[in-house]
Amino acid sequence: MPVLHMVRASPFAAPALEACLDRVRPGDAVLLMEDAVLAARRGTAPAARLVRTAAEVEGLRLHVLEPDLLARGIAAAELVEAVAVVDDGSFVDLAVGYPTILPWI
Amino acid sequence: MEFALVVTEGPFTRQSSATACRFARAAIARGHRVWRVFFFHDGVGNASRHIEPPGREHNAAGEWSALAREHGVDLVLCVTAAQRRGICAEALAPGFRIGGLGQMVEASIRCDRTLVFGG
Amino acid sequence: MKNFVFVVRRAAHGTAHGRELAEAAMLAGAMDQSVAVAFLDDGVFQLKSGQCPAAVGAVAVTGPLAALAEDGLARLYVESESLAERNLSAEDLAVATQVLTRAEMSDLLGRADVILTA
Repeated sequence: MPVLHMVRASPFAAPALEACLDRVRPGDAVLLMEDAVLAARRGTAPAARLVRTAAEVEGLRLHVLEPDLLARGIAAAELVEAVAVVDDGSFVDLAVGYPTILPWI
Repeated sequence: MEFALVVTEGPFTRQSSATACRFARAAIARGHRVWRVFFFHDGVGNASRHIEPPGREHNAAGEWSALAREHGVDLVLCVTAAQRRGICAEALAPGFRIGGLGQMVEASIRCDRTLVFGG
Repeated sequence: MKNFVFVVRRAAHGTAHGRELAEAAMLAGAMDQSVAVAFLDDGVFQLKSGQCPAAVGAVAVTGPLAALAEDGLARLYVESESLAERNLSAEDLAVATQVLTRAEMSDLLGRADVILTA
């Protein structure tokens, strides 16, 4: 079954995103929320890792939570193209759409 | 769909209680039901009726209480986690109650999805 | 019956999450659910032999974890890559667990109905 991975820690502070990306499988989705949204900014090593993993893992979908971007002053234009910006309603839709939900602490 | 949420971090210092609260509101707005929110680990700190943040900051207990009042969300604290952290029944904001870990498992059995907010 | 997986990614004693999660796993097992506890990343240190938690005023985690398996309430799995990255092997563990590769662990997680973490 495809898994929705929820990542909330900054990739610069904790290895949660890397741990997650090491284990994603085809068809899974990743949602970056809270401090993990920092990972999606262009020109950073974590963003490069996101792009690389998206290219390697078939059907992997990457999402970033809009309220957390807004709160941190990060504009959509600063993000790598591999990630889709989603609002809280779409977060709910993701949780509905994936039978297994795995939080990375 | 029915959701069970688990909140494992306290208010203010960490964002997860506020994130969970927003998720609950968004789920209800989408026509889903949030059947129970279980407060585990430091998450029990969100239940205190004495939380009084200055200004317009997120009032964890107040916002959860509002969800219970408006939408019948069942707010349950892990009794052991609460005892370990000095949270007693008299200190709870409206809508919260103290229960056991079995109620977290029960919620996960019953609901279509379980989401953990916090570490 | 649902398929519960409890994921432990933190070492023992720095936080009490592992111990509190073990209590939840025990209850889920007692409530006739299918229960697995998965130790990955620093979580593998929960299982290490020779722990003396009293040195920091903590209580033992290996005993309750072993009891979970012995009482048939939960199956315990540890990820081989997480052990190797930390220069540990199955012989360093105080609790009998099944060693899975990272790919096998991902499959286990993908089969879960409910994932709870600590």
